[in-house]
Amino acid sequence: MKFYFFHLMPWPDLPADFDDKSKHPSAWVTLSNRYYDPEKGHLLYNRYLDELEYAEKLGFDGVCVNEHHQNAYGTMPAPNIMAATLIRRTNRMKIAIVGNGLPLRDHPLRVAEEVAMLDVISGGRIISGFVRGIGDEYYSMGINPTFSQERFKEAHDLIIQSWTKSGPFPFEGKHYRVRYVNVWPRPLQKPHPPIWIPGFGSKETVEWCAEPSRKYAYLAVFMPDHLVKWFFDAYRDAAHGFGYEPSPYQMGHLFPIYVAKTDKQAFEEAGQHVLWLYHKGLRHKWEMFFPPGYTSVPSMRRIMSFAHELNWEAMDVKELNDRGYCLIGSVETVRERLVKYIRDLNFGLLLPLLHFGDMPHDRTFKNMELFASDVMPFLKREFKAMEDKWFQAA
Amino acid sequence: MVSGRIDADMAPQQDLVEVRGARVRVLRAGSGDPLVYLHSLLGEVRWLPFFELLSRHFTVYVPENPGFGSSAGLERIDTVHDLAFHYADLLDEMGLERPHVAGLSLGGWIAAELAVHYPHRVRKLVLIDAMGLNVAGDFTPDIFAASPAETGSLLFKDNDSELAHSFVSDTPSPEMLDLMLASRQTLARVAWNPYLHDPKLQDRLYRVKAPTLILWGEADQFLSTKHGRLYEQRIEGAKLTIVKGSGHLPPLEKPEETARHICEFLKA
Repeated sequence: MKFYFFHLMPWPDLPADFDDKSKHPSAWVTLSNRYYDPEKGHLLYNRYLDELEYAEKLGFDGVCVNEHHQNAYGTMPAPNIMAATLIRRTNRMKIAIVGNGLPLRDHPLRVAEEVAMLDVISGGRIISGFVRGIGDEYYSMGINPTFSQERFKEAHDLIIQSWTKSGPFPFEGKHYRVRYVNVWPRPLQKPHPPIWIPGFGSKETVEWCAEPSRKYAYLAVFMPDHLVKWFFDAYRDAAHGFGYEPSPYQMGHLFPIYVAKTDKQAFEEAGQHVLWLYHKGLRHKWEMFFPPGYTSVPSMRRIMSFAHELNWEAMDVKELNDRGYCLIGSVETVRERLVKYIRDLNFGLLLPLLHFGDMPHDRTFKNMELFASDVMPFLKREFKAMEDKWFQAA
Repeated sequence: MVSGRIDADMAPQQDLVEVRGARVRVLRAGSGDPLVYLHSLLGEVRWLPFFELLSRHFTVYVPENPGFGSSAGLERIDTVHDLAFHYADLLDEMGLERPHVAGLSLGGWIAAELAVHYPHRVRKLVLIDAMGLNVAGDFTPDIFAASPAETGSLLFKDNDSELAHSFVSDTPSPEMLDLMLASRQTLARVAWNPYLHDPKLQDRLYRVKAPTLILWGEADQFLSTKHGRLYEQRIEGAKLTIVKGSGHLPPLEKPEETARHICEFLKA
């Protein structure tokens, strides 16, 4: 098992009347940036970076940063900047950027260059995630969502070629055309940094990741148990269809985890922060969460058929926890449930969100410390065979 | 071309026309000079009272845009210009050399582009609450972010009417949901950004040769009358007429009055 501490860097200071949905239909796109206070932001960014840096001391394999635009849920519009600050303050751990929102940028070679720089500076500690960006961001950035899939695939192809082929060479796409592709620097890792793809809702994405020339890790993000299983099964089926057995390290699970001495204490301490995440930070206007053409009409029909499962606001902490949207409990509870998860789902990457919502700094450190001392080593021992079989070989 | 009758009451023909290998659905009825109607963002390709009224005087053709309903060929459509070329191809396929062309909303925009690209293919032009222009400082609401209920009140003067509910609904039938999703996606493809307009169109409207009537719903909450005025200014000889008591969709909301204006203009 590999453990990557995930941080979203949310903006916790929402307006006092945020519970009034008629006034504040979303934490995205339309929530005014007058609620962002740069003086507090200065302290908050540095506090959050301290938490990420602390993960190395605690023995995590790495940390994850990500990209979100113009919202209170996550204040990292430029994840490569976060990775850059972390590289120079850490020595050993991996830094996973999950990921750069390819269709949201007008030039994929900027991503290729920046990630290559980070990989070279860090001595090959970068994991490069690629995402399409969530629906709301197509509103915030004015990018046409109906070309999102096309732009993602084409930008991906251009970036991978720019990292693996000797330049200069021409690239002729529908959305991107460059006469002289010749990216300096080249990434340090060969053939290029590992690619992780966080996903939600699309089986096509899973199959694309599993294709033998890619074998990209697919990350299930904030999914209930049965959907995580459905996607990992789909990944394994796709890999078998391609004629190979996928490594558990091709599958990752990202969700909030909180550990305390007892179940009761854990719920008391974490409950409000989980609710901040699911009731506030993830409050979207449906039409903005799913802009036109972001998913195909058949996929959209399928998503609408399980829309009730995305209605987090109707769920209390217990229900969120029972369904697998988060994991809160004592060391024993958390160990037990993770062991069952990993056994049942056979995945090798765990990306615990150990800070979430408006969790204060001391509580975050406490959660990180207890996870690192009492859960992580236990699971590493428990699943040592997985490591021996798959990771060393890779 | 494949033809078949679809509605016993109103008795239009439904043609399936191949345009560059993609099948497009076209409703057709009536007799007299040809009149092609390009539908709005709602994809109203079903036999409406408005079409029946027009078909008493004209041979009315109502083609369905690629990407709407069951019409194919969307993968070739990236911009509104692709749609203009598509309709030029469709006129060729249907053997219509120089029909009257009317368009509502999205269809009005396409009609204007068609008349700019192919001035001699349009006999007379009718633009109804047409998208296509940007009026500086005029705020056009974001239709893509609108819920079905919000969409209804943007487009219809009476959004609680049976008519409005037959096009936008919070609880659509599966067929209606498909059309709503497909319409939204198809419109976004050509009109997400720049939003509902072509920045060059205004400067190209001098190319329109056809006599032009501009109709606008008095109570259009979506695209203000300022857009109609700008079309009127930019197309030589064009005349703007306001349709009283209508929102964004005069052919649906005020079929008699709208059809009367159009017939008077086309027969003059």
